[in-house]
Amino acid sequence: MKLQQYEEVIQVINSKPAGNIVATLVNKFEGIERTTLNSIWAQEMQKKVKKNFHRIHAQDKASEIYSNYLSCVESRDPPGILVKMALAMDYSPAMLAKLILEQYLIANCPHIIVSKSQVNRLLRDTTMIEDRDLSIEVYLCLLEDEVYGPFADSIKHSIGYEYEFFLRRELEKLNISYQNEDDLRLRGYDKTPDIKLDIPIAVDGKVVNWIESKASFGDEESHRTYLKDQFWSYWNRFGPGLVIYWFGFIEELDEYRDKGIMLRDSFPSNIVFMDPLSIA
Amino acid sequence: MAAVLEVLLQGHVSPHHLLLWLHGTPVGGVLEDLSHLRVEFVPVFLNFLRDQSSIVLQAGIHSGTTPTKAPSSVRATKYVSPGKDHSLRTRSRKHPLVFKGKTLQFSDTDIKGTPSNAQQEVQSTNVDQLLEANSAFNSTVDTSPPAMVPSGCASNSSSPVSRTNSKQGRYNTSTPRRNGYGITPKFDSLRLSPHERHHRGKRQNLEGSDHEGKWDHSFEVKHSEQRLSLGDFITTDIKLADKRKSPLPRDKNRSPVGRASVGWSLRHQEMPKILDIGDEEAFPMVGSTPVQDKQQKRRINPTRIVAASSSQQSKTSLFSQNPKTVFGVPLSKSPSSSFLASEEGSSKSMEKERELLRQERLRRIETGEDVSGSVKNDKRKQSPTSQIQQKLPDKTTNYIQASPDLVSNRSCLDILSEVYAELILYNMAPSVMVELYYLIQLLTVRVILGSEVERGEQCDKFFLDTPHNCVYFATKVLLLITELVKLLDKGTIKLLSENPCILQFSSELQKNLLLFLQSPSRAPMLHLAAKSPIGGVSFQTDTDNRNNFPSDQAFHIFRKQRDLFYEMLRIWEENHLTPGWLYAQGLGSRIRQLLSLRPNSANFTHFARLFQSQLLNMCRGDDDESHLQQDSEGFGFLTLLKKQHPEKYKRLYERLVTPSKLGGPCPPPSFPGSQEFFRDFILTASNFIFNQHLKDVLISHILILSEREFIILEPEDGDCAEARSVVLNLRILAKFLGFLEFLPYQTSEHIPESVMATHISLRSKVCPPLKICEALRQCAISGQLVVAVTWVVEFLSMVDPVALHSRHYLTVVMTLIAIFKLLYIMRPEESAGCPACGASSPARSFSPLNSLLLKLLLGWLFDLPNFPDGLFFVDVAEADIDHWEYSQTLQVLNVNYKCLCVACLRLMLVPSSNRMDKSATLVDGTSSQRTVSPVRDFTATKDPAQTLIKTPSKQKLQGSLMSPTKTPSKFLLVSMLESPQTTPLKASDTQIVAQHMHHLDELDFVDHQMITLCCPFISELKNLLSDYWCGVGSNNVNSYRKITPLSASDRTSSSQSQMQLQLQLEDNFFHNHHSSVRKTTDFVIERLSSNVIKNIRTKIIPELRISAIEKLKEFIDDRIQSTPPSVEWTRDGVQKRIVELSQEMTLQMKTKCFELARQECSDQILPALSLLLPGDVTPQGVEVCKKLVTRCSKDKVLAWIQSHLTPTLFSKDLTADSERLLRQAQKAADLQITTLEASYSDMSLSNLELSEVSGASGTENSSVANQSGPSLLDCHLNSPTNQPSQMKIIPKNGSGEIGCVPTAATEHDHLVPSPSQVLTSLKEMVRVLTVTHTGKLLNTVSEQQIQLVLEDIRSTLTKRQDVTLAVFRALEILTTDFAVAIAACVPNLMNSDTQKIFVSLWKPRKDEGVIPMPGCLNSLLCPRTIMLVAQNPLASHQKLAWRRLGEFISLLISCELLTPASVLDQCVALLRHTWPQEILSGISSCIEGISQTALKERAFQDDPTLLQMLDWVGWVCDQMDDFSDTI
Repeated sequence: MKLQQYEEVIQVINSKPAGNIVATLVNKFEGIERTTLNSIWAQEMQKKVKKNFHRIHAQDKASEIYSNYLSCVESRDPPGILVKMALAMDYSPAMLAKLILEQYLIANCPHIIVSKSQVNRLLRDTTMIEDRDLSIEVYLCLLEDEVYGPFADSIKHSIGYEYEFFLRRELEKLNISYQNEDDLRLRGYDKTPDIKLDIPIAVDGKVVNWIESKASFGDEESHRTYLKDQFWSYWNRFGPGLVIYWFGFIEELDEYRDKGIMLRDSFPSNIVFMDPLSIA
Repeated sequence: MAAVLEVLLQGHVSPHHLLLWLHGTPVGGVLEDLSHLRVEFVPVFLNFLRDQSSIVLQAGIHSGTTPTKAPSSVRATKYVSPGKDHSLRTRSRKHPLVFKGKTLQFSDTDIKGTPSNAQQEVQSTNVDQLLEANSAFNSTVDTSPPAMVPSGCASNSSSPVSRTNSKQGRYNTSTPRRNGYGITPKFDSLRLSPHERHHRGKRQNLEGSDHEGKWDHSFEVKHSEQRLSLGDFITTDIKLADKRKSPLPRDKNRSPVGRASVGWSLRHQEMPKILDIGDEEAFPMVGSTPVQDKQQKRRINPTRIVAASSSQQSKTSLFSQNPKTVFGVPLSKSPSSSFLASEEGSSKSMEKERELLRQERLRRIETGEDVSGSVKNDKRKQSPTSQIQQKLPDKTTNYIQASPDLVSNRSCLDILSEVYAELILYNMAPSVMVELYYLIQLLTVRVILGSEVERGEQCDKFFLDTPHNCVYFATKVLLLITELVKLLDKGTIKLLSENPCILQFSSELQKNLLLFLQSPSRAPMLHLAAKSPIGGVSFQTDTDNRNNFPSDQAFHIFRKQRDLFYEMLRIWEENHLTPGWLYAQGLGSRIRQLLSLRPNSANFTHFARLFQSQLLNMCRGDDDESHLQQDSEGFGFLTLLKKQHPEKYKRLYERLVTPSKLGGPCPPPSFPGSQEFFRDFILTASNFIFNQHLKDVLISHILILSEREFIILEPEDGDCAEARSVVLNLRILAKFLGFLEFLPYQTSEHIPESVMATHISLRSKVCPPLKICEALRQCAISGQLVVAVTWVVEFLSMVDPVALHSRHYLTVVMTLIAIFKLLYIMRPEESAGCPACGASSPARSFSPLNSLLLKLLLGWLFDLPNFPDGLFFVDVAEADIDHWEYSQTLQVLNVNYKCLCVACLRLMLVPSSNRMDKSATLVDGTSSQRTVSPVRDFTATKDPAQTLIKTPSKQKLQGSLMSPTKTPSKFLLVSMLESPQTTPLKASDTQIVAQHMHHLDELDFVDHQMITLCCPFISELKNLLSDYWCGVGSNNVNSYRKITPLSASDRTSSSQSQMQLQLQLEDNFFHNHHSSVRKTTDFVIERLSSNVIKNIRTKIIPELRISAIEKLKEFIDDRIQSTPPSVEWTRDGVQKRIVELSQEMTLQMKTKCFELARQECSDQILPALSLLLPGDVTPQGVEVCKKLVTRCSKDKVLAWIQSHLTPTLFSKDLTADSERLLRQAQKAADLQITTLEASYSDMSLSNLELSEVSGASGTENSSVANQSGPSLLDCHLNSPTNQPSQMKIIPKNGSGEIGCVPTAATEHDHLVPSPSQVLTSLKEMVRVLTVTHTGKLLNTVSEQQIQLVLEDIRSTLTKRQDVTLAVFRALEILTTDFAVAIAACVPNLMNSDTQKIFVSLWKPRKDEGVIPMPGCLNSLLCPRTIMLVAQNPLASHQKLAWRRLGEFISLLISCELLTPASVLDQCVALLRHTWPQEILSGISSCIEGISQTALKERAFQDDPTLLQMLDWVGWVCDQMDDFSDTI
């Protein structure tokens, strides 16, 4: 995807159209896959949450939100209070639920230090939340949220794994021998790409020693982070490699192709295999 | 000295005799008396030639036609250490950089070098002015050196008007001042008194140039005030020389280096004067005003795209820092047109561009001269590009055409040329390159017509004062040294052969050259390897993984360091071309961060190794990059860039251009290309610890590489590639080692005499990091001096001003000089030479190209600024060196290498002289004995040392005896000579072998590509020739040499199995077989044992580890189960258990490993051996090998097991795991306790009467746990999920297990909806059900939809292999939630069919369930569920919902997915909340429903308590409202 088009998509997302944003996007940008648009949208949501997190989770603000919530419960509002609040705040319902849950625990269990894992455990199993109102509220938030929360996490995690699995299968189909992350970790590698090829291949005339599968859209922010934390590290250790952003990427970001970090949005079709005999 | 020349020129002594005399052979006659002058003759002779030709060459400059040559020809006027002059010259070009404040010391010296450079360039100053201005100079220079510099530069081209004037004056009235020494009386006034000179020396010191300081030092310290003037050699009637000699004896003993200084002084003595004259401010041009000078302080440097060679790159890097002065006016005037005037072909455009600059300069001169300027029309001046097309045919007409007819003094020239040629050929001149360069200068000299006429009156003591004579002399010498010329690359030879002068003056030479050109050239031996795409140093598990670090922390920090290092590299690559980007600023903080991350030696070692590997990686790649830049593609890019970003392009261009010359025949050492990064890293880091570690790494790598022996059995097979790569790697390593080693001593300040002496004596006590002499000896013995010398030269090129005066290094240098004298440009034939030489000659001699390379490199070293001047000519006996070490080395050299006497050399090298002096040859033969040694005086006296030296064959033999298995190559060597009859242990045999083996030195190991790579300055010759062409010829000869890269192959890790336990028998066995048998056996042993070990590591260890952890887990669980509340208490027990377990494990491991090893051995060895061993090995032989392999690999495996698989290792491992397990168990226990307590307190709160029930429920809890398989602990541990895989401890190795799910599909069907899809739709369904208003629900959700989703879940779980545990858990929760949501929100859809589908999903796997018994069923009846039901206010709806829930729970109970106890728990928990009456009654109806259904089930009837309890709960619910009311 060209940067320009990406920016158009972002514009539409920021204009906050009524209804399901992804559906709107799908209608508007016909040539673009739904998964891509969904991924871009999710990334935007994440950015929004990141931007507002500190503001909203500041102690004052948090307790204010919590008391708002309590008063709603007091007044016997129908379930879905938190979901509505999140909508009004333009914030992630799951994150809001987490915040409320934390506040609830602080308020109700003063003698216990509220740990992150405790909160997470309750989020994972909302039935364990003592307060029945909160229990259903949090539960509804988790169901509502497509980016945060244990359900969304499971789905994201699964998507990542599915594509990695797909990649492995494709490699196996082509009889390409590789080491996966776990193999490498076992052998004491300090940085482990998803796939490290035992015998390098060539894609588009570029050597590929490793493949990283990313089940997300490659936007600038995430790509920079990945480059710094992962891709360059792989490159340092294993030489040039391939990154597959299964949901596409901003084409302009593919600037290190010559240097040895190639971006693709699908499994390469034109693979050249190493064959020492072909030279002779 | 003049006497010598005199007798020579008068023909009393033949050149031949002279050479013999020089070589130390007693010749008798006139020369006998002059023997004390012998040492000094060569340098004086060389300077004499420069003086002779200085007029002509200078004329060349000032005529303005070949301006680019100006500096070099100036230099050529004197043999004053050309290297130094050169360095000055190049430095002047980059002086602006210096003022930018680069921190390098090297750069600092550059600054200081400039003034003298300026001085040297200004040749035209009037002699009288010199003296007048002397004092003025002193006052101005010190105060404003920077101002002085540009004026110096400008002198060449900036003030044409004044230039003309001064030229007139000079040519009319005077010879150039520097020839003044005693040549004509009227120049006597020029000679300064010693005092004056001393004074000047001091002034120089103030300026602080290091090398000026150095010569000054030698001037003072060594007291080499014996002023030998050239005149001494010419005429005896100039007595002034004697006066100047006087100081010498007086000073002789004061210097620590004493008598050795004689030679050194020779090149110094004239310099003070030279240095003084140059400053234009002090000595303004006639007619020029200072103002003018200031305005025109610009000099045009012809520039060229850097592309051809690494050294050109070096220029770039140096250059890059001062882009402003790179171009003179032309570029700034029309930057685009000048550079991109023609881009059709890269080289073409470069040539044109250079031509453009040349013309620009011409134009400017012309305008100044106003001589031919009027001819040119304005248009031409304004559009330089158009000039390119016109090759200025009219220009040539202005030059004197050298003509053979006009040559004067032929006989003298003949004599001189003969002497000169022989000096070159017999390694008596220090630098071949400098001499060749000088010859080509003479050949291509051009003098403008007018200027020459005026010189008719010149004193006839000048033999090289006309271009005719110069060309004659040059061609004559070139003819004599044709063999040497032929070693140059063909491009140069072609240019030479096409030179019109050659044709005119010596058709013989041309014929020779053409003939040679026609001969088929050797195929290039270097492989054309594309640059490796690997940019970094690859991660090697055997050196880089966790096991190589003392701690996890160190390991992870190194990971960071590694990434940080590469980040810096990237930053550097992106930015270092940008002007204004400073290394220290851009990377300094990062470097410090990196090095301070962990000041731990392990990390430093690792980092130093990474640094070194990356250095080799990148710098070897540079050779390719420069090559790539010539691609037309690259130029296409440039064109594009120019259009799009003119500014950026301009900056890039400024980076890429380089002075058209590399910097003369002897450029100073530099750090081209990527080397700059590493150098700056070291400088910026200035971290002592890092430097030390890096040094260690470099030294060890250098020695490993250097000690490698290359024995090429079949020279044709191009086996040299690896050796070449090793040589190139060694050069880089040695250079950086030298850099590090001498870095602390580098100084830009002059070191005064006294201080210098202290330094020298201090340094003499310190051992160098490497035993260089030993390395040289070793390489001499193994016949690969070419390897050692190349890197030693690189190492020494980095030397500081003091080091080479110190004993250790002096010894090395003397050794190098001795080696230098062994380098002959032709291979002596076996029969060649006189009897004396022939008798003493061992087999080895250098191949011509090898010699050439070493000659060039050594010559370069001898001319470097920090190389003590004149040291080359010093008699070794007088030098303060480690004589023992030296003699030892020399002996090794003499024994291993052919050392020829002059007579033999002459026979070999100067075929034309064969007939000349046959008698002399005979004389030589009889008289020369061992005097052929280059250091005859010394060796003659120290003969006893010979006993210390072993013959090479013996050495070799002993080596092989002592460690026959040490290296394959050595083994190869021994086995080669074997024949059945003889034992391999006789010396005679080894000699036979020696004849069959090829050592690198003898092979054509070096080729032209290698020479160009190592000595990029060689292309200067071509530049001179092609410059001439461009001025004269019409065709555009472009011969940019492509440099073929060598790829760095890192094969050093080749395994050499050590078989020290081998018995003598085995050795004999192998001795009697083909070498490959041993190789094969070793190979199989190595492979086999490594395979076994790998198997142990990847299979046996993880397996045992898992089982041990399982046991440990069991143990912990046991403990905690039995005594729940005290996890702390179990810790000790756990520790004990760990020790037990690890011992147990080690034992098991060992038995298993032995079993594995045994099996592998018996299975694999035989097939492998029979496949690999040569066919002629008998079955018995194979059997022996097999046994050997079995034993050795077993030993190896055993050793590995013993050292690696210890109980401590396991216990450490297990302790770490136990912590985790304990934590888990503790959490679980805590949870259990809290739930227990909670339920207990609830109970007690809600109903005190029934406290005994709570006790029952407690026990029930554990029974529940037992029933459902997994304990409740796990249930609460992470998530409510309750499936077996969670139970399994996930082993550290994890190998994908994390992602796998109990219901692993056997096949993958990617058409089935993916887990994420299923999960998403399921979640969506639940969301819709819970959120949507009930009224609309029936329209949005249908039974079919529900069933479809559930089916999808099943098929996904059974047909997809990519289901992760996370998905699985989410499915557990969401299916439960789904069921609840349906029952609560659309109860009528929760019919028995739907219920059955759910149940079928949750059934145990044996009943084809896919999500067996989700743990969250235990929270089916939770407040949340109630809330869901309560969402719909309709009573009928709620009623139905409660019924459905009851039905569903009953079904679950009957299917054993839920226990009544669990239901009871849930109910009890519900009661902790207060509920409205309608809800409570709903709940009670639900529970009643359950109990009623349960009554029908037989299994339930056995448990009356439960039944009663359910009844009770139902009743409670019913009554609850009343209770709360009453309370």
